[in-house]
Amino acid sequence: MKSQTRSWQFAGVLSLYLLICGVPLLAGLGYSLGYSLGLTGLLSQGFTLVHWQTLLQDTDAWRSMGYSLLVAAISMALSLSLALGVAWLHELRSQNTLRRWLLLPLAFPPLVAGFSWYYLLSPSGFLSRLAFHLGWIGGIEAFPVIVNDFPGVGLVLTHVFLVFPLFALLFMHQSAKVRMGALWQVAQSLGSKRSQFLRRVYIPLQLRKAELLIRLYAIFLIGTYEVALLLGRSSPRVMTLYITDKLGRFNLADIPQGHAMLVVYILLAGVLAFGGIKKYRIL
Amino acid sequence: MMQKTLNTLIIIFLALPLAALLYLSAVKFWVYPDLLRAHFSLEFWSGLGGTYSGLTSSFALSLLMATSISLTATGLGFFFSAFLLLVPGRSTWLALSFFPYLIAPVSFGALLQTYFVRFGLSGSTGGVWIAQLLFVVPYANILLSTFWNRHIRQLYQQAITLGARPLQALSGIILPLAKPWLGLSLLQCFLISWYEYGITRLIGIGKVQTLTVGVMHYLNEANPHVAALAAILLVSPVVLLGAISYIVVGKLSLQV
Repeated sequence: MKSQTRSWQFAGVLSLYLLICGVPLLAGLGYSLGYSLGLTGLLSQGFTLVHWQTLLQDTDAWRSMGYSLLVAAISMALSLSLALGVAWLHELRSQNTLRRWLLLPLAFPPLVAGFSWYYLLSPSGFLSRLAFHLGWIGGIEAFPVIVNDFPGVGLVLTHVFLVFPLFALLFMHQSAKVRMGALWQVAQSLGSKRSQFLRRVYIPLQLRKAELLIRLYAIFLIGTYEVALLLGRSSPRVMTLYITDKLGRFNLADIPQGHAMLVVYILLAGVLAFGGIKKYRIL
Repeated sequence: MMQKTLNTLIIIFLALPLAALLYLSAVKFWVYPDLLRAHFSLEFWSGLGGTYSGLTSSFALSLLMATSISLTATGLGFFFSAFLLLVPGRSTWLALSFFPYLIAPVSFGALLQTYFVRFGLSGSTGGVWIAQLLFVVPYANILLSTFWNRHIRQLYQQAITLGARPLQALSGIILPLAKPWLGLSLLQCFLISWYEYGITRLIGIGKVQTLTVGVMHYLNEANPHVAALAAILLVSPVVLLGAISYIVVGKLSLQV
């Protein structure tokens, strides 16, 4: 009797866990998949692949996916380069003031960071006014457009602001942990040049140790939303904006495509993440 | 010399956004090309008690929501993380918790939206609270799962073998050891909820005015000064909380 009560309790808790941590996402994913296959929704007429075909033929969708991946890759590459550089300078000479300042962006939600950088970089923003007072530009129209622009300069810069400090702090911590200073001394006494040490020891070691976090942050950047909403463009737009635009439109015919893209995005995040999880044995 | 210049440039890069927010919240009639010769005024700050009292209520709502979510999620996360130790195939069950955290909150909101509309939860504070909780609990579960290493499990078993009741072992051994993890989880869950915009926007459909929604609302109204004020309200407690938790968690870790 007692063991039967225990099994019920066990099943009850497991169900609660599933209800909170599994069901919402799986139910939502199932609904989106069903919607994209014409199985549910206001205009549903039974199973069809037409919405997926439309999505695959939609250049806007491909551009959106490519743009998200490109912005994430560039932001990540710049953030990592800067973080590696800062951590190396810290290795050569302790930078405690800088270290404290690196904590500041961690208090910025993406929305606030996007807002601040918008007002710093826009043609009527702080930097444009500063350039005018310094006599570098003659007026508002002479300032280069770096917000809501095609190359996404403002977007990337805001991502770097959000991501690089975390990696700089991480690399500093990793350096101390592996006693990078001692390694550099040994390398020097064995006749290694600084560039050789950086290329063959410092950079590979740091990146390899931070590989999982790099992967997770890349996924975070692919899913950028608030920053892109403020500093991105409407075409090409990042994946999350493509999804919310399609789902929020009054044109009902666009909604299945939005759901199809949502499924693609979640699968992409899952594939990118789960490779990492298996490899790093964090489960 | 070059290193010093580089350091200064990086510090400027890091400090500029906060400086811009503080400046925007303290000037009015900010016409191009005025930079430093603007009309300084504390009108927006003093308006927090009157004209912009909506921001004060948004602050209170965000604070209440983030605090209650943080407490509930940490409690549930700790409970689930302990429970999963008893479940065969733990890693597979735990993998479920990874997904909500991996995808953008706005996408999670888009997935949930239809069900929340169906259950009449869309556009309500309760709905946003539940949606955020569904996003935060899996994160707390993952974070707190790292606490249950072999050493902790062995300590628990040892206490039981020596005659302690499960509740005694939990309150006397496990909880004191888990304090730094619980503190970290409380802080992280608070921050996720405090910063959250995408889920709140989609599930709250603009009716649930948290601070992040307030920032965007004033930005859409082309009122950067009040938006900056809201943004400072959003950033400042986090800076304070970060400092406090850094000291508290640091001390707790030393004790452990």
